[in-house]
Amino acid sequence: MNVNVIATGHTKFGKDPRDIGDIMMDACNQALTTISIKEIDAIYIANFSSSFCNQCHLPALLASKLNIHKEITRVESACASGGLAIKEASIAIRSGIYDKILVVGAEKMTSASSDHTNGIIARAADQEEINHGTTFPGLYALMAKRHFFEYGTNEEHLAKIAVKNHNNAIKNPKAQFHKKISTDDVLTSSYVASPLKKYDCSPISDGAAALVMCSSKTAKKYSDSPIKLIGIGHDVGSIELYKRKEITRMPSVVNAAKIAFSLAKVTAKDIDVAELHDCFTIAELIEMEDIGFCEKGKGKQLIEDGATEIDGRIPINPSGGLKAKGHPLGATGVSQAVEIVKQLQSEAKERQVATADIGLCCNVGGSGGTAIVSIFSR
Amino acid sequence: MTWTLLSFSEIMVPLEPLEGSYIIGIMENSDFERKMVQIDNKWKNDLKIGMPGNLNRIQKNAIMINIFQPI
Repeated sequence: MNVNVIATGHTKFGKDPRDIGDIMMDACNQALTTISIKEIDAIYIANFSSSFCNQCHLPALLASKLNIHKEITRVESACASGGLAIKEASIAIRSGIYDKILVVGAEKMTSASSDHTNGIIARAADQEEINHGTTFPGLYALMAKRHFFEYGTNEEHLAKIAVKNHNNAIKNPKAQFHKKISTDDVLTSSYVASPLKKYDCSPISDGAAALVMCSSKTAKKYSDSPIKLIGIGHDVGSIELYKRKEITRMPSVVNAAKIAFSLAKVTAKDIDVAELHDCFTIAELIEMEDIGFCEKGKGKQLIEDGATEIDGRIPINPSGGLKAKGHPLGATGVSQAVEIVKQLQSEAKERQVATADIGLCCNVGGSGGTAIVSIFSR
Repeated sequence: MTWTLLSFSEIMVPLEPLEGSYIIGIMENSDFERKMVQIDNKWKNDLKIGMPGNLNRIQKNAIMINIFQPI
């Protein structure tokens, strides 16, 4: 695809006292160590909502902070905004319009009250769902309940996903939580939307992540170990969960994965490490199935076998995932790519997957209405 | 027309302006038409995926709400 990642930046996720401009700047400055901002042709900013921190017009805000004049574009597709920014940047590089692009995803969520935050996030759902009092935990709870019914998955399977991701986050200094939890901790935590409990849910987070992307020819000038983007698939379908043929499947994930695998000329069996969009534990399990790491309904078997642990057959969310690394909505898709780049560069330290030649990210918006699947290789 | 309950969840952290806990669900009829529903809390311990029910419609705060009534 002639698209590479040559540098990354990532703030520590969690409650960050800085404003969104300074959070973005931090991630950008980390990514701009081997290339200067003057050499960057354009910037894409991924951000879900200005309502969390009452700050619109992020492109001009970033231009002020960096003291530059550039083409800067904000993209939004709910929690898939980061993946979409990477896709738009890849199109621009492939087309030859730009050669060097800075992609930054950012969200400042903790300024708002939790009730207000819930309401803002719910705007990514269908109005009829909202009218009936449906929250995002509620939408994913409906998927989980039906998955339990159709495939025999249970709350303990989901709890094991939470435990794994918390264990991984302990090894990630940029993660929001550095707290080991047990299956019992998850199972005895309070229900948010049955059958999902507190520890099945990703947190409210502030944070930013950044990538510098460029053509293959340029990559060699700036990095000894550029990482190639070899496939990226983007699919958008129904915003309403209740109208989907199958409540336990995210067709956009299925379609985006097919496109990404086709472009990359690899299959699910070739993936060494994956960052999946575990906004809720059930989402990680459904994406494992929809991407093709196992047959539909067999996700629980991968969990029982430990196959998704860092030393397992298909390590999933070595970063700690959204669940424990944190989920600043607009930053998440970029953060997933940063982790995969680190893994493929063998720079993930304590959480390094032993053999990481090809990695995959799955970034989801809403209850699965939007999905971007990207595949990277050394 | 009879509807079938496809999935349900008790929401413990409500979406404003709602308060307290309440039950939401998805139901389907024989024509494969789907609807979002609320279900009265009194049915909490009796709900099962696949159970039949009727559709009632009520107005709340100028919005029409579908109610699944188990039979």
